Amino acid sequence: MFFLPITSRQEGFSRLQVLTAVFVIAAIGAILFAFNLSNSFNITNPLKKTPPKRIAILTASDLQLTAVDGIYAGLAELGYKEGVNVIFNVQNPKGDRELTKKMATEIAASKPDLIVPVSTTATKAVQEAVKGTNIPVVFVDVGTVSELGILDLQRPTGNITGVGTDSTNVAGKRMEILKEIIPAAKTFGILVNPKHVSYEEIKKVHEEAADGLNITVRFYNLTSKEELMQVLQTIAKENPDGVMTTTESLLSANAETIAKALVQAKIPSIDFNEEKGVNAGYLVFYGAQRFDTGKQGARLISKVLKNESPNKIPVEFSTKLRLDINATLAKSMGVTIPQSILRRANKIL
Amino acid sequence: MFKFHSIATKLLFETLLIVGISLVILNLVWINFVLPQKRQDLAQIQLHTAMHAQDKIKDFVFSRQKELATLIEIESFSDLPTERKNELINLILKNDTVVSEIDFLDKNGQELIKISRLRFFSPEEYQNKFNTESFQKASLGNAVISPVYFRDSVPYLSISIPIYDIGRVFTGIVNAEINLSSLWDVFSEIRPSANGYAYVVGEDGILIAHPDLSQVLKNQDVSSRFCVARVLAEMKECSGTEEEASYINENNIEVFAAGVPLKELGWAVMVEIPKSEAFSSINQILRFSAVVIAITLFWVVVISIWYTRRIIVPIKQLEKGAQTIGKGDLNYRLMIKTNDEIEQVANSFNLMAQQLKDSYDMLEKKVDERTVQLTEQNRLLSGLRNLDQAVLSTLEVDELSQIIVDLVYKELGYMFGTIALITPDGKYLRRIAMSRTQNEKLEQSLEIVPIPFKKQLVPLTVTDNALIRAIRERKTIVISKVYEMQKGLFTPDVSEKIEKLLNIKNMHIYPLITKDKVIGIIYYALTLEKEISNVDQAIMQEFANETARALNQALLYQDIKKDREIISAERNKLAVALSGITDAVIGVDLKNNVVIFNTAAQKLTNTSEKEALGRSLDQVITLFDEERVIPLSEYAPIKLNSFEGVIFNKKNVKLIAKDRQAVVDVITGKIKEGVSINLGSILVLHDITEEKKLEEMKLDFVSMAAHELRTPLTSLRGYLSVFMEENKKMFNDEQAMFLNRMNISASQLTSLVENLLNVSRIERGVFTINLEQIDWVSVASGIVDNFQGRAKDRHIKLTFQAPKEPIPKIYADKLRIDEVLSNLISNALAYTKPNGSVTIAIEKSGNDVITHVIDTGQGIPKTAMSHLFTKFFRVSGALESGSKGTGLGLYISKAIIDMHNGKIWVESQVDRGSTFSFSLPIASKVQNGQEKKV
Repeated sequence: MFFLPITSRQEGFSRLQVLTAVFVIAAIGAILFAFNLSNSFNITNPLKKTPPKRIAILTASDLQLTAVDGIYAGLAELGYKEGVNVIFNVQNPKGDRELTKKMATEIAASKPDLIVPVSTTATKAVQEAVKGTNIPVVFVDVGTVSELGILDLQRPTGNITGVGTDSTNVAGKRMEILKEIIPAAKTFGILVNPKHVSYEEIKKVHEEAADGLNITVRFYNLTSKEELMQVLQTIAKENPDGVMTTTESLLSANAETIAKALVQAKIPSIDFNEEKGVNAGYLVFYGAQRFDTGKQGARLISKVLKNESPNKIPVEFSTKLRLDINATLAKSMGVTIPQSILRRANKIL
Repeated sequence: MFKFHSIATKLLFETLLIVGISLVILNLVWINFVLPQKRQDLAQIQLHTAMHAQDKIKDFVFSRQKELATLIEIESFSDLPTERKNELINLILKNDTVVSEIDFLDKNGQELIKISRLRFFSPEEYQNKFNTESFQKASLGNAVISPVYFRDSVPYLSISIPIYDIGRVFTGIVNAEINLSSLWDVFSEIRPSANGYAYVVGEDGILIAHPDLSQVLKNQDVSSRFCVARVLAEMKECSGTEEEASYINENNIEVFAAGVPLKELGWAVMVEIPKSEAFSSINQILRFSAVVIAITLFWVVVISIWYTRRIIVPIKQLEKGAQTIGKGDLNYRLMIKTNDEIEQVANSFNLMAQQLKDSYDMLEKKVDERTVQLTEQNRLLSGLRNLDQAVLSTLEVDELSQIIVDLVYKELGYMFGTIALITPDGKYLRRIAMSRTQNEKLEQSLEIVPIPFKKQLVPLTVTDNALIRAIRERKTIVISKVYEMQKGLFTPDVSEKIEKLLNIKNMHIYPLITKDKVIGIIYYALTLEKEISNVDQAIMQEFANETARALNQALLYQDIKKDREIISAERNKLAVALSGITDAVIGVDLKNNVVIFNTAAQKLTNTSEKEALGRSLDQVITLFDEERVIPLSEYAPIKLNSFEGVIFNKKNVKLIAKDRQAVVDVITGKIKEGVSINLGSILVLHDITEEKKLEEMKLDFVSMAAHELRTPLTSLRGYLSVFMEENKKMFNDEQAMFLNRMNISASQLTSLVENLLNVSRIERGVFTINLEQIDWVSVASGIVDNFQGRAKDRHIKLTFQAPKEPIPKIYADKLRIDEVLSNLISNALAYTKPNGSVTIAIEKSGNDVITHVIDTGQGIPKTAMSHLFTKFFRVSGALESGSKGTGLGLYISKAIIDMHNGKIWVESQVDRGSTFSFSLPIASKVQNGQEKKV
C-alpha cells in the first residue's frame, strides 16, 4: 500500500507531505462544514455547557405549594430538569410575614437568575428586596395584581411580570355561590386578616357583592393564631348564616381548625383554598386551580430564562376556576345543596 | 520541509485545487437550482398548514355558536324560569372554559341575566344593550359574531344568538363571551415544522391568536407584514413565495410567511417558518455534499500520491542514473521498463552514456598525445625558467654563460652546449663557456685540442667556418661534422678525433641575436641516439633567443659598470679640484637645498659641510646688493630647462653667513643635465673682502692725500698767478716760460687732485648731483667757446654744430655735465693732431638728447675700448704719449652720466678718429630739483 512508511525521500512523498495533504483536506472539509452549518441551524453546541439557571421560589405559606408543583410540572414540560439546567431554591416562611420579608432579602442577596414569588404577600416582599438589582421577577398566583403597582399589564415595568389569579374578585362569586346554597341567608361572616396587603380591596369586593345579594357582612379580624379560638367563639356566638374565608395564609394554615369549629357551629362555609377547601372540612370551595396557575407561570419563567425581558411579557391571568362541594358534610349539617350547584361542581365529596 | 517545486507537490495541489473548486462550483449551481423549488414546496406546506388552522378556528368559533344555538333552541330558553336559565348558563360556563361570561337580554336589549366565571354581577350592574350593533344584528334573526375586542389585553369575541318563543316571536338574545386567549392552546399544536407556527390576525390587523400567549397579550399590530396586509385586504391567500413575504419577526428571526383568509370573520390565518429551518433539508444535503467533497478530495490525494509515485519512482531512477553517469560511471545502464515515454528517456540516457564513453576514450588518447607534447614543452619551460633565474642570479657574462650551457645539459637534455661571443673589438669569436657534464669523454676531448678552450679565437673573417656563417647569415646552421665549426682553429684530424670520441651526431648552431645585433652563437651538440623533433627545434630556438637577451643584458651591465668607474673617477677628481680651489663653490638641487659645499665655501661662510648640506641655500647664506637682500630666486633661480651657462653674475655682493660677513663676486651657473641629476645650480663665490679693504685703504689714502695736496696747491697757484701777473715784465722769455710751465703743472696737479677726490667720492658713494632744467644747447655752445683758445693754440678746428631741430631742455647738474663735456672736448683736443677738427653736435633721439664729440684724432685700438671707462686707464702707445691725462676723466664722466640715467659710449677707428657720445633724458621725464647720490 502506498500509505506504508516511505523510507527514502527519493521514493516519492515524505510522510510530512502526506500529512500536510491530509491536513489540507481536513481544512477544506472544515471550511465547508462551517459554511453550511452556520447558514442552516441555530444549534446550540451540545458540548458547550451553560451553568444551570438558579431559580429562587418564595411562597407565603403552604397554601402556594400546589402552585409550586404546577411550576415544576410546567417547566418539566418545557424541557427543564432540576440539577441539569435549573436549580430551585424554594423558601417557605409558613405564613410568617416578617420571615417572608427576611427570606426575600436573603434571596435577593444570593443573586439568583430569577425569583418566583408565589402569592401577593411574597411578591410584595420580593419587589421590595430586589429594588436596586436587576434580578427579574415572575410572580405566580397573585390575587390582587393591582396591589403590585403595575400600571400597564401589557408592558409591565419594574423587571417584573407574572400570572395573576384575580382571586380577590372571585370573592364576589364565592359569596354568590354560598347565597345560592343558603338562599335565606341574611348575614355572612368574613374571616379576614387586616394586615393582609390587599385588606382594603378584599373588604371592598365583599361589601359590593353583599350589596348585590342583599347580605350583611361581618368581618372577623384575625391577625394571629392566638386570636383564632377567640374569633371562632365569637363567630359561633354571633352565628352568621354563612362564613367565607379570604386569601390569607393564616387561614390556610389553620383551615382544619376553622372548618371544624364552623361545622360544630353548623355554619355553612366556603373556602378559597383549593388544597384545603372541602378536604379540610369546609362545605364549598370555589377558586383558582393553583396547579394550572403554576404551569401557566412556568411558561413565563421559561421566557425570562431565555433572556426575554419581563417588561416585554404581558401579565397574564389564570381563568381556570373550580367548584368543590362537600355533599356529605352538607347532609350532616342539614344543608341541602341545590341541584343547580351540584351540576356545576367539579368535585363532590 | 515542503518542496513546492517537486512534481509530486505540484500535482497534488493542482489536482486538489481543480477538483475542489469544481466540486464547490457544482454544489453552488445545484443549490441555485434547488432553492426556488424548495421554496415552492415550502409555500405549499405553509398554505396547507394555514388551511388546517383555518379549519380549527372555524371549529373553535362556529361549533360553539352552533352548540349554543342548539342548546337554547332545545331548552326553549325564553320560556324557562330564571333559575333554570341561570342553571343552564352556569352549566355552559362549567362545560366550556373558553366561555367567560354569558348574558341574557330581553327583546328590549335589557340585561336580565349576567353570569361571569370570575365575578359576581349584581342587578345594579345590568345594562341595556339595545343600541349595540350585535343586539341590532341579532334581533334581525341571525346569530352574530362580534368583532374581536380586548379587555385587560385579552382578546374576546362575543357570539349573540337570538331567542324565539314557541310562536317564533323574538324574545331576546343570549350573548356568550369567548376568551380568545385560549386559542394559543389550539395553535400550539398546529405546527408546519419544528419551529414554525400559525397565528391569527384580526380584521384590524391586531394579533389575536398565537402559540405564544404573550404575543397576543401585547395586542401587536402586524398589519404591516406583507402577507397579512394582502390577505386582510384581498381576502385571498398569500402563497409567500414573493420576496417580500419574508420578514424578521418579533423574535428577531427571519421567517417565510404565508396565509389564508378566514372570510367569515374577516381574519387572516398566517403560517411562519424560520428561513433557516425552511432550508434545513437543503443544508443537510449541503452537509452531505461537503462530506462527499471531503471524501472525494481525500481520494484525490490518495490517487495523486499513488499516481505520482508511479511517475516519480522511474523519474528518480532516471535522476539517479543521470547522476551516476554524470559522476563518470559511463558503463552504468538504466533498467526502466515502464513501456512509456520514461522508458524512452531512459533508453536515450543509455545511448547518451554509450556515446559519451566512446567520446571519452577518444579524448583520453588525444590527452596522452598532448601530454607527451606538454612534457616536452615543460622541458623548455623549465629550462627557460631556470634561465630566467640565472639571469636574476648574476650579470657577469662568463658566469651567466656557464650557467646557461649547464642548463643545456641538465634541463634540455642535450649532450652539451657551448656559447661563443664576439670580442668587443668585433674581430673574433671567442668561446666563453661549455656545459660541465659527467661525461669523461668531453674532458678528454678538451685535452685533445691544442689551444685552451677560452683562448680559442676564431677570426670573423674566416668565411667557411660554420659558426661564423651562422653569425653572418643570421640563421641556424646544422652541421654533422665537427670540423665545419673548427675550421680556422684546428686541423681536420683533431676535429675527427673529437667527433669519434664524443659520438656526435650533429650540432645545431644558433646565432645570438638581440635588438637586431648578433653578439655570438650558442650551439647544441646532440648524440646519435637523440631524435630531433619539432619541439626540440623550438626549444633550441627559444633557448637561444632567451640566452641572447640575457647575455645582452650582462654585456650592457659590463659596459655600465665600466662607465660608472669612469664617472666615479671623474667625481673624485672634481672633489679634489673643488676642495683645492680658493673660490667658494656651492651646489644646490632643484629645491635649492645645498648639495655641494667645498672647503672654500666652508671657510667663507664659517659653516661646516655637514651643517650646510641639505639645508636651503638662503638659510646658509644671505646676499645683499648694497642694502637690498637679493632673493634666492634671483641669484639661484630654479630653471627646469636644459639651459646651460651663467644665469647670475654680480660683483661686490655683501654676504652674510652665520657670524661672518664678506664681500664676494657671485657667478651662478647651470648645467643642462641639472634637471636629470637634481642639480639646480652651482654658485661660485669669489671672496673679494680683502681686495675691498685694500681698495678702501687706497681710496682713503688718495682722498686724504688729495685733500692735503689741494690746500697748498691752491695757495701755490694763487701766489704763482699773482706773482706772474705782478712781475710779468721782469722776466725774460726763459723765466716766463718756466713760470708758465709751473703754472700749467700746478693746474694739472689741481685737476688731478680734483679728479682723485671725485673718484674717491664716487667710490664711496658720496658723489652727488643736483638736477635742474637747463638749456643744454646754449650751455654746450658756451663750453665749446671756452675751448676755442686751446684749439687755436693747437691749430685744431673746434666747431659747435647747431642742432637742426629745437632741442628741449634737459634735467641735469649743470656743473657736472659741463665737466663731462669739457673733459670730452679736452680729450678730443689732446688726441687730435694739428689741422684736425673737433665737432660738437647735439640731437634729439626719442626721449633723450644725445651729444656727440667727434674728433679726427688717432682713434682708439679695439683692445682698449672695453677698458676705456675704467679708472686709471690710459690707452698705451701713441695715445698715451700725447696725453697729459690722469686716466680718471672718462671714469668720472661715466659715473656722472650714469647718475643722470644716461649712457656714454664711444665709436672709434684707429687713425680716423673717435666719436664720444652721451645721452641725457629730456626735462619732462625727470623731476626738478632732485638730488642724486651714487
